[in-house]
Amino acid sequence: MLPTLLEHTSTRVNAEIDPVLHIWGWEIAVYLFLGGLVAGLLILSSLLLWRPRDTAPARILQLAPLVALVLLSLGMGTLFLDLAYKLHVFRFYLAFRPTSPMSWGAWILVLIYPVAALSGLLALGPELQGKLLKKLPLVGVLAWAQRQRQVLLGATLAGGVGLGIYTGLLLGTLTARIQWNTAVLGPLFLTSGLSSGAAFLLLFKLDEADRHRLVRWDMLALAVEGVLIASMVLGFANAGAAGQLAADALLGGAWTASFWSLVVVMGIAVPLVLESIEIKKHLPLVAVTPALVLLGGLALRAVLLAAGQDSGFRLLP
Amino acid sequence: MMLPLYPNEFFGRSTGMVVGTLTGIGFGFALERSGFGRAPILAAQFYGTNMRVFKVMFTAIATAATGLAILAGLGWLDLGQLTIPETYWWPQLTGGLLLGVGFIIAGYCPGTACVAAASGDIGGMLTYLGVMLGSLVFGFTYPVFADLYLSGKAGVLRLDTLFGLPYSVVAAAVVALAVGCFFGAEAIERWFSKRNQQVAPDALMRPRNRSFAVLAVLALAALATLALPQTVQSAVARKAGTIKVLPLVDTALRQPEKLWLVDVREQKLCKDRTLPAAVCLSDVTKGAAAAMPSHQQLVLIGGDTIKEVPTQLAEFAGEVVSVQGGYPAYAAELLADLPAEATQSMSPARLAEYRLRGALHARLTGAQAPVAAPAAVVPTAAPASAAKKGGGC
Amino acid sequence: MSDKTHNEAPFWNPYLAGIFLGLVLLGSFVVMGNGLGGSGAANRVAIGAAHLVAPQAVENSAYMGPMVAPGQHILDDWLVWEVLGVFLGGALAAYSAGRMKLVLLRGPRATVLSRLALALIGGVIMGVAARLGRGCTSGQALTGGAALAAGSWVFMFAVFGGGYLVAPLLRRYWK
Repeated sequence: MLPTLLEHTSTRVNAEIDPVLHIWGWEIAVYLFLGGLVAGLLILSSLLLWRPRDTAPARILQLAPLVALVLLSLGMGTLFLDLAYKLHVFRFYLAFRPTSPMSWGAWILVLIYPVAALSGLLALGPELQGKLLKKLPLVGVLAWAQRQRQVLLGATLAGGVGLGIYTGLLLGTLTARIQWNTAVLGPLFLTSGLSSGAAFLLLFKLDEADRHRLVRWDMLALAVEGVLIASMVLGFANAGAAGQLAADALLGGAWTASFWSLVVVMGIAVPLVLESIEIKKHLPLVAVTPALVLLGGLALRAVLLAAGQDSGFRLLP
Repeated sequence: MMLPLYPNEFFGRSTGMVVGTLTGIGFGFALERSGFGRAPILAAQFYGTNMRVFKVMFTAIATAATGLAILAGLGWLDLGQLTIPETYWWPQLTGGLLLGVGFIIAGYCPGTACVAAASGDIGGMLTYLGVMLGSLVFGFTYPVFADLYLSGKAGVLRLDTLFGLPYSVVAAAVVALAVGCFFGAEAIERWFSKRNQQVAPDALMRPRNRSFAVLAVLALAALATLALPQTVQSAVARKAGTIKVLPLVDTALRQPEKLWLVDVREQKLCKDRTLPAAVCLSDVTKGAAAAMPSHQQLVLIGGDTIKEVPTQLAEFAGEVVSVQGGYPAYAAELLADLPAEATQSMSPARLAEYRLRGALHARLTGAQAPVAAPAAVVPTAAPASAAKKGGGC
Repeated sequence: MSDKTHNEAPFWNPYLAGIFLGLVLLGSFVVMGNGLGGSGAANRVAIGAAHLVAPQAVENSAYMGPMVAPGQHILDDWLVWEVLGVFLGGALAAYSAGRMKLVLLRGPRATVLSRLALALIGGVIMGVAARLGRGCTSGQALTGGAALAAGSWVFMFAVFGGGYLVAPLLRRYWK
């Protein structure tokens, strides 16, 4: 504030970065959410389809990997919207930098497409496969994919896990933003992606056994998410002054209301209670529960993204 | 007196919002289990066949009123710190009548429509949508309603002050009135059910009698607190809330009629320099505090944040707040030279604050507004769309 | 209620429900210093939406303008969070009672179309009324009633009065 210090501060104040980071808007929140959702869909569908079935599973499960690809493309579309130099997108693929999560992400995204497309082909029931083969010359591809079934599903699973963790690490490695300076973000976004994926599938008609399994997995993922959030907040609160600042934002500070009300209460606690009632009382599932889980997943990304951009070491006294 | 917690700064505003969500969950749960998520049950109230709405509402009012009376009587809760709807006789009368008409047409009131929507009733969803539209109708045609809306103002007026009785006596009277009305309501239900050859609703006597017993105990406990020494209440000085410098000065310049600024620092300091339009405490005559209109806000300016209202001003009937940080905060925020900052990197809230500070600084000191704040540069759209430099991932 | 199925939990006894509701209200007073609300959130969401569509018109309004003044967010309000909670609490209660189902509840002789139209019209009337009366059944009658606010008691009796006045005209629709 003192004029004599102006020169010093002017070297520190970078437009767009100080006092608050402003480069990431809603596009990135939606992208991170869709990325997590896609990761969850890929992981869950690979697990559910791991063993070949006698009867074709529900339509949405047959289509899950392909739907995941559509959602991923949507997400990349929002990402592309965010790029300032849209034509330079190819540059991501001229190099691979093992220390950069953005580089990892760019390559994971590219590798997921063929793998998920092939497992998508495998996942289709005989009826849909027949329709598709009539239109496209894919007989050879399908035969090859069927021989490599376990490998392909395993690769899809791995791709899903990689994608889920990467969406969290992307923020987690930006340690200059103290709200993101935690290793928990990777696993947190992965489990949140799993619960979003399960919730998405639960919005559609499913076999009783699959539905039951998904509800239980969703409950597990939500519970783990709660534990990870608790450890994240506790970690902040017990870290140094920077961590204290990050904890304050969530414990009484600017982001307290949206974080606890939208993410924890609406997105985790209430769906958990609804799902446990559902299992205990054998009630029919209603769309409200998965809808709340999905909204909570979106809120988690949006709140952490915004809170992180609002936080920085400059705020330290 | 430590209750209510929030006005006594037990936790911050943002935490209070989380409390809001949790309170709402309890409220919504109670409304649904009361049967208020079903329009036919609510409508039955107006045809005499099922008086559930009346019973639930009046029991809730009696319970909360006696609860407040007991807590206040014990000296734990300061009734003066509760946010109580101000009385405006005419708009409340007409608004109530109109709301009753809408209630029987829609089958829901706004809160119950929300619960009905949550339990899947399309009628509830449409009603809540209608409430939103209606709010906008009022907002956009406000000049039509303005005279009525502002008429019959009586400020914060409680029944106990109106009747000149202790709070707990009126609360106990509410219980007596409620229980009396409940017997009447049940008689009406029986009469209508007999006529329609139906079974009267909720004929279970045990839960009813137990509830009445609870209400009676609450009422007696409220009355019993009258026997406690009342010095507890009067001995405690009035507490003042706080207001930040920027919004205060903004209001002081734009709508000075809303505020009564009193500088409570030493006379010498106050005479030397104080806020525009502020008077020194030494200049406040005896009885002036009681005579000031209660719709004004009394703002205390001290050497720091003032927690308790000075005795000379304690008779003031309206809301009392004190400037956060006192005069030094004002001087530091608005009289010191403003550093220019890069406005394009600010969030809209910060930018608005920055511009406000610049404008106030300029007005108070006669200096130029800081160069970085011209309105034309400011993007009106979301900050994300302003000069973007590549993003992520 | 003819649509009650066998696994639907019964409603609470009205007096016990009233005591529970009263305790929630008392808790709100004790913790926050203010009571409950139902229509304030609708007002703020509607103004927020209108502000996105026609910012100038909203800012110029004497009633709505101050709510969208710079430096504050229209949705950053206790009542908005509280109504989010009402929705969640209602969903929890309805689902655990086996009552959550997409339906259109109506009187035995009301048609689908008339029910839809009247639900919306009644809502609009209440929206105007709640702004005029500075609250609805929750914010005025319940909250103000418990705090013994004089105007709120007038409001409460007026609500019942208005309802009973018009109810005979709608007998065919509800009975």
